[in-house]
Amino acid sequence: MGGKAKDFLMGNKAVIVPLLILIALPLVQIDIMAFILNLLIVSFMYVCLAQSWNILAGFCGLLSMGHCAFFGLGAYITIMVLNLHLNIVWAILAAAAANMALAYIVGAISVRVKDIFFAMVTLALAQLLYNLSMQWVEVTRGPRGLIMPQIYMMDRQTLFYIALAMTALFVFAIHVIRESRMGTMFVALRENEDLAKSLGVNVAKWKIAASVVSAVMASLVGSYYVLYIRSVQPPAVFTFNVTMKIMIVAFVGGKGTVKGPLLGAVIIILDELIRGWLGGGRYSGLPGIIYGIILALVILFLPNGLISIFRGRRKAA
Amino acid sequence: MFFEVSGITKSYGGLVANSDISLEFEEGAIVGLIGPNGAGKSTLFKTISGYVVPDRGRIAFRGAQISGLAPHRVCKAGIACTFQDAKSFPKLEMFETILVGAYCRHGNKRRASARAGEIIDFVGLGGKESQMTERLNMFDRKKVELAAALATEPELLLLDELFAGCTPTEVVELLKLLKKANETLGVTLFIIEHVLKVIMSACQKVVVLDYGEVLDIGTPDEIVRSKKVVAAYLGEDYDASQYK
Repeated sequence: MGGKAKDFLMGNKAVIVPLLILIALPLVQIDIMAFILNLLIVSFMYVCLAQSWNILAGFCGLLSMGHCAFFGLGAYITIMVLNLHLNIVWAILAAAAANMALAYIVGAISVRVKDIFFAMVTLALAQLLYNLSMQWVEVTRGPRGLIMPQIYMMDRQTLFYIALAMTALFVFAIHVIRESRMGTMFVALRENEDLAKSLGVNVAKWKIAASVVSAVMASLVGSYYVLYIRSVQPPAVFTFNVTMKIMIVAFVGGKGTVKGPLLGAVIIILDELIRGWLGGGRYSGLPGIIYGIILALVILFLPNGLISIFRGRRKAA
Repeated sequence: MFFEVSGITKSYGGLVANSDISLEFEEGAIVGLIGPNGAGKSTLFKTISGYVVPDRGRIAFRGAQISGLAPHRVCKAGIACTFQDAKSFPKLEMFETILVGAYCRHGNKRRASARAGEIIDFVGLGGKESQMTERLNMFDRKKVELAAALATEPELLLLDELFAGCTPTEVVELLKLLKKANETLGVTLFIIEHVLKVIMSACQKVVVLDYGEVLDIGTPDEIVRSKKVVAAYLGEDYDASQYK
């Protein structure tokens, strides 16, 4: 594993300098550092979620339109366990376990239901969890949401480093998966399921594996979200808006690639900056418009995402 | 018996695609399957490889029943196939396409890669490993499909019109490759083909289907002389000698 990490870094020397800058960044004492760190943390979360979505949709070709379900379930289970005043590790593990169960069902569905129908099923699943979290007031407190106990509070600098480490880990994990047997099985299923079957690929097994890996990753981000935001409300985690942002990051960066979602972070930074500048006044609709235009331009002129600028005509998978 | 089909019947609504088909052959053979369009050749292949579940009948491979198994299990059992409509993984590098097949027997990446490399050399695609399959020409893509199937290390390989659309030179090259696979890798071949040159020069045994039923089984020489086959498929003015 250590050797692989070293090889990966050496093969991607371009990431070393930005990584060092990011590690040193919180040590700089300037007024807007809190703003910068928050901006980066949000970007990191979306990069990680986009990587999670990438496994399912980018590699395996399973268009998940309800990806917020994994993320939101992770956040909700985490905050519920924290409210029992258990160790954070238990909360993270419980959230991951719940997501594995959900992912198993999603994976099993994906074997039978394909393409747009799978997308609709996942969309419905996320909506179901949204309604559940709104209506099951005894457990979720409904629209008021849940609040994290004070004792689990962390300072911003620590949270930043956790987010950075999580992002690095995710990118490396995706790299390892893509290079492994699992990655080859995933892309084979995306490219041609019938041919894959005839070459001995167990479709159900690998689709469920993709779903589980993807869900556990999203669940970890959900757990992190709780530690960072300190509360969870249904509209913040279980709406299509979240799923859409995840998909946009992956699309803008380059879906089905290892490093694409990293580049996709620019769209989140842009979004946050524009919203910060314009505030919530009479121009509150403008960020959405700018957002939409950028997305349309990328899809029209760079269908393989920003990553295709760097790799030229080389492989997209 | 190495491979045995007994009483396979499959109908789609009122249309009987396969009706009580029985045939068998020995290990190491090259067997042809011919017949007019719509005779049920591809349905029989799809039934053998697990894509179609037969209404009745039994398929046994080395004594074990394989009818009713899912396609990937049939492949694991040792029967690979290529498709009539030449399937591929368009956006994968050629090497990774073959690797998918090699992973069928080798879970370890290093061993699977080594196997894929051997097969690529075997079919003569060396040097094109990092090309995307969609960028290869039709003939190379056929070889990729064949190589991926061979990478699963089959004992029996079903080829559904592999030669369709090939030029005469390509037919000769591909035929050489198949004979080499049969001789050096010991793969038994079961071939659907309209290019009669292939059937006549390579096969030891030919099965003729017509209207979903077995019309005749015999050596190529017997088949071209069979009155029913000539009437149903080859045509009255068929001259067998031109394909020798």
